[in-house]
Amino acid sequence: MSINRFLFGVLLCFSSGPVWSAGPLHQQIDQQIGSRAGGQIADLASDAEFLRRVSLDLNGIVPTADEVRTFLGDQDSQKRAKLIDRLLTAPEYARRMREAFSVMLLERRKGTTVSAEDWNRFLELSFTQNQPWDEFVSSLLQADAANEEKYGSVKFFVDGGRADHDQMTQDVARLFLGMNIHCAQCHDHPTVDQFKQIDYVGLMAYLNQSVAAQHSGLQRTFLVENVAKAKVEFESVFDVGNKQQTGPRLPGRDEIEIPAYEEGQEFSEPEKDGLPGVPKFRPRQLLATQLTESSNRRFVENAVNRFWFLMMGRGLVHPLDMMHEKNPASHPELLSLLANEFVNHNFDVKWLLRELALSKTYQRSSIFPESIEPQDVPVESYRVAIAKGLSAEQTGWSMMRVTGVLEKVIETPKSPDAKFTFKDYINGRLPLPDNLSDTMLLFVSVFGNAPGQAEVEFQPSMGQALFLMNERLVLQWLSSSDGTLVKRLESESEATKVAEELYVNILSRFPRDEETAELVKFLDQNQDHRTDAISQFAWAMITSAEFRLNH
Amino acid sequence: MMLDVTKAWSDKEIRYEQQLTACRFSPCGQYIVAASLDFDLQRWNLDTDERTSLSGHPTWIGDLAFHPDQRRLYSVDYHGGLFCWDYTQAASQPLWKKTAAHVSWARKIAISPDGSYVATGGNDCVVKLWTADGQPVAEFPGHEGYIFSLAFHPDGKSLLSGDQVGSVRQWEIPSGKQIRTFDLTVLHTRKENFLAHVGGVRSLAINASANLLACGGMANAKSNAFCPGDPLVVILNFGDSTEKARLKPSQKADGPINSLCFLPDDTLAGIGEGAKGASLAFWKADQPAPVHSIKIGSGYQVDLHPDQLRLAISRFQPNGRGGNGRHATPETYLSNDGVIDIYHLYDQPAVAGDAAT
Amino acid sequence: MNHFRCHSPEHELSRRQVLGTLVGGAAGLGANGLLNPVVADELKSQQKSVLLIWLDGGISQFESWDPKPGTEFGGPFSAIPTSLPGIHVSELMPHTAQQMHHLSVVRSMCTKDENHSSGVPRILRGDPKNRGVTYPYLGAAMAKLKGDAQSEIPNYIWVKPGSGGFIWQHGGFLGAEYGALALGDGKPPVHINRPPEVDDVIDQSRNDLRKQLNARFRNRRRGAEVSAYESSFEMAEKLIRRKDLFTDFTPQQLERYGSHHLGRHILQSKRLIEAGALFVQCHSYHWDTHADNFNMHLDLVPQIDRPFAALIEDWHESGMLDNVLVLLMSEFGRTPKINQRLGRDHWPEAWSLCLAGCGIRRGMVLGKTTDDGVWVDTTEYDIGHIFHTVFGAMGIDSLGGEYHYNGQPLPIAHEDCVPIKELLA
Repeated sequence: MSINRFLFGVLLCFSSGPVWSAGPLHQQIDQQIGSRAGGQIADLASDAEFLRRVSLDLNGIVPTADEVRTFLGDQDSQKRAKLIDRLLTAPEYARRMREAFSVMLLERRKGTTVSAEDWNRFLELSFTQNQPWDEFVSSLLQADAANEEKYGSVKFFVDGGRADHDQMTQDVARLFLGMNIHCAQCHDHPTVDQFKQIDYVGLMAYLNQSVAAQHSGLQRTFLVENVAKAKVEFESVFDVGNKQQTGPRLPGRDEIEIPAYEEGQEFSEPEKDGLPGVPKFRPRQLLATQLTESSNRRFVENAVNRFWFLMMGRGLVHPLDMMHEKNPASHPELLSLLANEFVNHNFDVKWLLRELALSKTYQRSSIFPESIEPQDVPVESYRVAIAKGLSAEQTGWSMMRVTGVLEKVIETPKSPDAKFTFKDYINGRLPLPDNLSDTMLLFVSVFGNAPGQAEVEFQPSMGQALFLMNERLVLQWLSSSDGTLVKRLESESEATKVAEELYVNILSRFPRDEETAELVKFLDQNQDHRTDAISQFAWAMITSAEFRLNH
Repeated sequence: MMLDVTKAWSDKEIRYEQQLTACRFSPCGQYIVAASLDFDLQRWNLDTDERTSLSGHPTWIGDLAFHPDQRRLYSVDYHGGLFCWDYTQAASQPLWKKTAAHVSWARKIAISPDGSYVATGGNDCVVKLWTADGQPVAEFPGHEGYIFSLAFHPDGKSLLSGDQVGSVRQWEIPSGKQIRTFDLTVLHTRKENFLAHVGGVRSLAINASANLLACGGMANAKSNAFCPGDPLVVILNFGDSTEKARLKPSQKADGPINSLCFLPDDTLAGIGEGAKGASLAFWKADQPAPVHSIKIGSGYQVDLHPDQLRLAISRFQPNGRGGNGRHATPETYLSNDGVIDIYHLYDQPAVAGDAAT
Repeated sequence: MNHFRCHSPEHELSRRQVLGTLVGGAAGLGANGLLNPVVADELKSQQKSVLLIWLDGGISQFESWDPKPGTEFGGPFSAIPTSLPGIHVSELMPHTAQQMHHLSVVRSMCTKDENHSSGVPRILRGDPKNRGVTYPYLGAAMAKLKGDAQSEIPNYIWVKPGSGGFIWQHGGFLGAEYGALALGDGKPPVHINRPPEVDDVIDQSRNDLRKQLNARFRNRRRGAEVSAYESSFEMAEKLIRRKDLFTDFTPQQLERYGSHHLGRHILQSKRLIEAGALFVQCHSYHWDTHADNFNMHLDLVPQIDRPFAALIEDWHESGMLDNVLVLLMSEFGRTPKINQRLGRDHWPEAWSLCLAGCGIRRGMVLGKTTDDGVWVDTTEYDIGHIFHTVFGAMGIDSLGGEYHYNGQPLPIAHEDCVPIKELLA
């Protein structure tokens, strides 16, 4: 049995296409999920469910009312595939990816050595051009501040507390190799046999010469490398006295020799512009190449696992940074398949996302079939779609869109002298934010995690509930003022029409009969303050679980 | 002998099994006396290296100072006590003591140049003036933080005191009238989340011609836990109170400059403490970087010998491994040691046996 | 006191107690825990609670509970007699000295971790045997074992300097909803005040609508996310209803407890406990005096001495001390050796903590250190023993009770430790 699996794996590794002609990737995904399902599988999501979900996942915002009506009315049998393609080419795709990957890579850490604008530009360009993922990660590790298009990449290492080499090592391991080796800093990991101290130190040996330096001409921070002279020494705190050492070494791979140069011969370029000389041996540049090689299984599997998580709501390996043999994937063959295919398609991100979105697994409903009990279905079976919480950015964009204020907020310019901080705002020292930048800052401050906390699980907080209940900005958006949905509906006399408008705009679907009846009755009972009643109902919808979740 | 600090050399290291903090040469030049953390004063004969303990304090000694009469030595302690000793005698009973000269810690003591007055200060924030026989003369309230440093003006007519929150005050002697205050709040940090003040004016020194006032301590403290900061000496023009220069050590250190003293040529010697190292540094008053510095572990006091050619420092000496947690078996856990180094501030003679002339 | 110590069917059932489940994870048996309903009611009717006062960084035992004046490592401070004959504490704790007859002080703590970053969570999670799961913090555990989901006040509140928020990580494998509600500077979250345009009627109406929509949405869907979301609103509503818990303190209260951070935060914690909070953790930071230990403790110890003594005295007088278990501790003590900045470093080998109140003996000292204060000279106790003792004092069977996580039964406290019976009343 194990020999066969080994050979199977070898064949998969070396093939240039699928081993057996099982169809496009999205069909193979469904076969793999289906073969391990162990029970009944939910139906496909309705068009409305699907439209909302894929708009959020690929464009970071719920659809407009027009988009809802158009899509639901469209008779084309290929409309879902076409929708996916439209979303992948819209400008909002790059913005959404930038938002999601900024959170994943920077984890909301503060730091302004490299501006957010430069970082965003680097990311959005990469996603707009559909840069292959291995090249993107390589750019990030290279952190080439001389590159006019990519110097924002330096932010990854330089801001957010990563000037510390230990932090750099831990974050590179977590984010690109799926290894949380924080506990392997001082000894082999106490609970994960596969994470060894030498993995930690070997990885750090690639990074420990990197330091920030200021270019005297360009107003930019460079991440330069000093000359690596010796291996890194280490000893386990459980085995004091047994000193070991290692040069740069990726987990599971061979150590790199540190070349010895004659005094004065270590540099390929001399000091210049306030920066030290460029050494001939640059371990971080080597890391950028070696870590992202298609033969680095950890790198590839971690990548596809994270894209899977982005779309499906859970990693095939979960938690995302605990990829080791005692925490196997829920679908190991599927993980391998995705990894191989990602390599075969040259790390094409849009291709991968498209295949994921086309799968029935992705397009499944989050509603359980009548015959099964929710608690009997393990989350990792994917028999039923997993509900994801909206990110802070998705929440902000979507709330602005559905209340009708989005255009106005985008058009309102930010005054250059007016500084908006969350702390000042909540302490009552500033007026309501009116422009995009300040509004998004407010939403990120409320709905984003604290710096350094990965955003993976849905963690609703009481503070967020209080915000939704009592924040004046939210109430203003739901009031009858310029351009808001509520104002539009004020002049709509037909209650059934009001019901439809509310549901289509806010929940991106048509109301069921009983829902229409409920709302009509509610408006009827509140005739003398009808606008207020509409506003209340709109509030209830925006704060409902149906809105808050991507289901 | 030409004073040349850049050639400073040491031939004597006095070691003790407990830490040594305050230390001073006796005015007769024969002894050096230091406070040890075992509640005693240790007196070493500089020629014979013989050590005598002067015992009697019930707690740590904050500071000590000699009377110019070459007989009396005064010390203050952390129970507020003020003691007077005849240091020339081997007997270790104090001549007299006042056990409650201050409420809480008495940290510093200074003697006026002619020996008429003794000034003490500590945690009750009051500078107290005494006669040489311990009779109270006056009290100078006004400081709003613990008093960390004292220095008499060379003419004996005024006294300077520095405190924990960055204020230095000049008092007329003996009336106690406040002549002026100096703002040294750069040497004090208390951020909103600190539980206590960090830093303070740890050392004061006035040069012989009284035109320079040196204030030592630490700026930009980051916490009240590890208390790391930037060691700093602020030099003021004593005449008009303006700032002349800010001096920093060249060796990396993260603790305050604990002690300062001017040499006859107005070179300023200063010593600091640090978690990872510190230095004995020599500055010219108008140049921020030292003209010479010697790396040491962590130091507490610097004092000039009456011959004005030798300098003593007291510093930390580890005994066994330190840091967190258990490194030793029960039998080998010992307190850290103290060391006094004596430096000669001139070029070392070429031939051994060339005595100082 | 302990309801589990008989050979009754209830006892046998409680040994199989399944007490925890992960949000959205493997099958649990209901949102409210799985205690035998009879036992659960009995426990709840006693309204016990816990106040943990945490001095982060490591208060020096030499400068507080276990002074060694005049010894090699003793430092400059002397010791003063207390209301317990023969027992002395540091001169820096004059007020607490007068309350010693209400307290139990353990001087023989010996724990394993000398680092903060790993040590603090280890201590607060009870340092259980490693089974590859993240154990809950004491407050989260208490919320699970004794919490009332219907309570008006959140079960686990964390009063701390700095920022607040919901700290879901404290829940460990019990799940995010057992995390701590952190109140930054002891203050309620921003947005606790409703804007004037929303009155009671409107608020009721809109929230009723919201709940209706959620009830419909929940139908035929996995409920964990909806439940977590709804409970965040429930907590918010509870807190809004109890805004009275955050009014200013009177000058007399501030005079008695001190108007510094820790004084106010202990006052706020006291108020929350008296209002019915099950577990309040009151945090103070920056006790880690690696430099200038003696100067610093001179200024720091009074900041705990005054409010702690006031709290014990006030609660003794009102009778609350019978119902509240008070635990005052750090993650370790400080080294006997004095370092090069006249500081003390970390010392888990021998340190002290204090327990008082519900289920705890009054007026005793447990264990001693060697004359020089370096090592424990009697039975050494680890944090696991303390957790067992705290659970025992609160009427929880720490030896028989179990959590259940993904099919794996897990002890609620370190299985090599037992409650310290000398401490239990």
